[in-house]
Amino acid sequence: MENREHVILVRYGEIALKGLNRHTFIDLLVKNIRGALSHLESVKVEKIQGRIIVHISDTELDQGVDAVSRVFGVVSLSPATVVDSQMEQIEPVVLEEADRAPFDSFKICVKRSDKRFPMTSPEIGRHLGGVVLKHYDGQGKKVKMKGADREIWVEVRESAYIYSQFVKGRGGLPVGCSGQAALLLSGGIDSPVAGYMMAKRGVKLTAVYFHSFPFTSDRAKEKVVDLARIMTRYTGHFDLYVVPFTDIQTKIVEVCPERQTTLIIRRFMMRIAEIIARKTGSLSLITGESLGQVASQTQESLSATGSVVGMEVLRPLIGMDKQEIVEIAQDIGTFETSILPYEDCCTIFVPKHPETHPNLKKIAAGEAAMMDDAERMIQEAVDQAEKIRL
Amino acid sequence: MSEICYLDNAATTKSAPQVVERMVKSFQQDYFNPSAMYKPGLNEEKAIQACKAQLMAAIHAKGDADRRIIYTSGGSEGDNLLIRGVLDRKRPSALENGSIVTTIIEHPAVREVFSDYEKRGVKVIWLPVDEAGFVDPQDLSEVVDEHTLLVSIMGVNNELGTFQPLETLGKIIKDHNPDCFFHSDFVQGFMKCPIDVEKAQLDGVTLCGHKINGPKGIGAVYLREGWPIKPLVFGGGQEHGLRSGTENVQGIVGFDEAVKLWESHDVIKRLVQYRRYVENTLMDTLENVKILGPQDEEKRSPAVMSVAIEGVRGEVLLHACEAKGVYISTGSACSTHKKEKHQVQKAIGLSPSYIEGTIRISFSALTTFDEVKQGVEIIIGEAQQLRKFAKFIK
Repeated sequence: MENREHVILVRYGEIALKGLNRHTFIDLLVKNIRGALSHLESVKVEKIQGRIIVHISDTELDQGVDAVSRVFGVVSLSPATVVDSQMEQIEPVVLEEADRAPFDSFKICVKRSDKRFPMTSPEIGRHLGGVVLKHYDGQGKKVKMKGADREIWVEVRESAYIYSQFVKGRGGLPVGCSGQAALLLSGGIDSPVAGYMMAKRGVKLTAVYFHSFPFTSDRAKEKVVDLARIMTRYTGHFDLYVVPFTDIQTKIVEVCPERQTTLIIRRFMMRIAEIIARKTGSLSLITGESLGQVASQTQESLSATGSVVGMEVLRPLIGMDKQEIVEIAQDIGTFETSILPYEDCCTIFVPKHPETHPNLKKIAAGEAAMMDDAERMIQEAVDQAEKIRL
Repeated sequence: MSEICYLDNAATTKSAPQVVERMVKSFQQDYFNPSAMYKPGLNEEKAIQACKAQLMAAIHAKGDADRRIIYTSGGSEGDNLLIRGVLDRKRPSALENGSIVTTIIEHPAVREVFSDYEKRGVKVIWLPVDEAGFVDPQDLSEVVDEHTLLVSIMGVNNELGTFQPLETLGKIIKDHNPDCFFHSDFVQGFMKCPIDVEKAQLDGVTLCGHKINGPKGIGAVYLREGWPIKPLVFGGGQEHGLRSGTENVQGIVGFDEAVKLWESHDVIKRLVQYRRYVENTLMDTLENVKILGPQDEEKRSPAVMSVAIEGVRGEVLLHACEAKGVYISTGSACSTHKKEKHQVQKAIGLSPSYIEGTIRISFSALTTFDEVKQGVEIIIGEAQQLRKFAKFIK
């Protein structure tokens, strides 16, 4: 009786270069892959030299490949069949791989790390090439060493791994290896993309959403929860803090100069986000700002909002065009949800003529009417924030 | 004090207790397939026929109720069945040379069907309405001719409450072209405004259960004798082949019970009082408020009204009221999933500063005066609060 099982061979790139931290990085990647597959039943993840192997049932293989391909740190992956390192077991699997799709030319690629196997790599290649040619006898199949239609790989280790498909991973670094940061998440197109991009560089996320009921509806909040849920396919689980923001926002609108309202509202959002960030172990804030996109995203406006916090503000979209951001949003699947027509916290109370080149002193003066009670209001908003685990 | 004030009955209504009771009995005891050969099946068939007879009486239709009434899943299916059913029987040349006529304030279930035919190259004439939401009979008279295949005019508008003079319009249509199919979506008017399909010379009427305290998932159409239509659903040949699928018996008897509930004259009298109360209270308390639609009670539905409040955003007012347990809407619930907003308000020429502030308040037979009173009080209070932010309305 032959031993046969399905696995996903996972390859990682950049993280392999990280010197002494290498093991920590790989362990983190293994953990993240386990997390990404936690919804599947019979999955086992193990490290072997230079690779991660996911043991998975045949029926869950496609779902597994899909989920692992979204884990940051994975460069590529191949669904493979594993059999004992015996030629009579390898041959039928090679023919199955060949049969997956039509081809004219092919190549057998062999890696032999188990030197106890009685044949050398070139010998194995020639032998299996012969088996394929014989199987398709009379159909004009050709062996081609360069530019073949099909490449069938055979890795002879303690067992033999046979595969012919390569699925591209998303690269990047395993989430968690770059610490944690708090993302200011609105319902728009940009902020989910910003979160995705920082997660790609290994940042574990916490998200903060400002809810201004009745100015923003429960559907708007549901939309943000949906967006966050889509993001978890890439970022892994994270917490979303829904901050009740109505009192602060309406007071700003009532007591501050109209031209400055958007900026002052954003300054309060940054202050609250910073407190939640520190409380939850985040080292930075992340925003979806892109230079010049709207009035609150000029250099002066960014300084005016960034200057109220004492931590790094990461703005991964700062140099990107809207179209580039939209393309990423479409790629990661957040776009369709982002464009649902509900008001978000950034689009209500937009002054008709907003300040675009604010002067820090003037903003501080404009904000003065808020400041007697600001600390209490901010603390209350933080205390009443609802935490949603995604 | 009512715990919640449900004032969004034009979107849907709560099923009345007697409706639920009759449905439960049907679920538990009269669950037989009306097409079954044995006696209990036949009993169901007869029960359905009795329900159809009651619908016929309610719209003053004559003829064989079993053939003239076709049950559907609701208003949208009914509109589709009648409009598509008639047009899809036409020869390509008739569609190419003919035209179809409707108004610019129809429910999406009519509007989108017309748009679909327009995309396919059929000439569609979209009639404008005046500031109260009425079609100008003169306009209709000018566009209907021997090439007009079908006219569809909503009997009662779902936002304004405007009740079109169907008899006048029907006469114009038939005088110009007796072979033109006259359809009316009467979902918002049924049991709330009088309709006589004979006098109005209507060939097809769409009705629905859940706007009159009946269950969701049941509607009906009236189809005049002599109009062959192409079915949307093919299958076992129920409803004389025009709507296959096992009849929704529980929905049908629930719908029937709902009709009985609304037959009492007292219901309409109460709703007229509610509507006037809301109108008077809003006008007396708030400045810069417009009550949309006709003023004359004879020319409007008492069950639905739209109010435009300058200086608030309808959507925000809706959510502010929601937080206090008062449920209203900003327009047709069926279109909140779509981006084109305020079509009806634009159609009646409402100025932009009022368009954003439009809310819709609507009643059913189960609405109490307490609910109305408390609801209006909260709407007024929240609107006053929100007017502080008027300068930010886009």
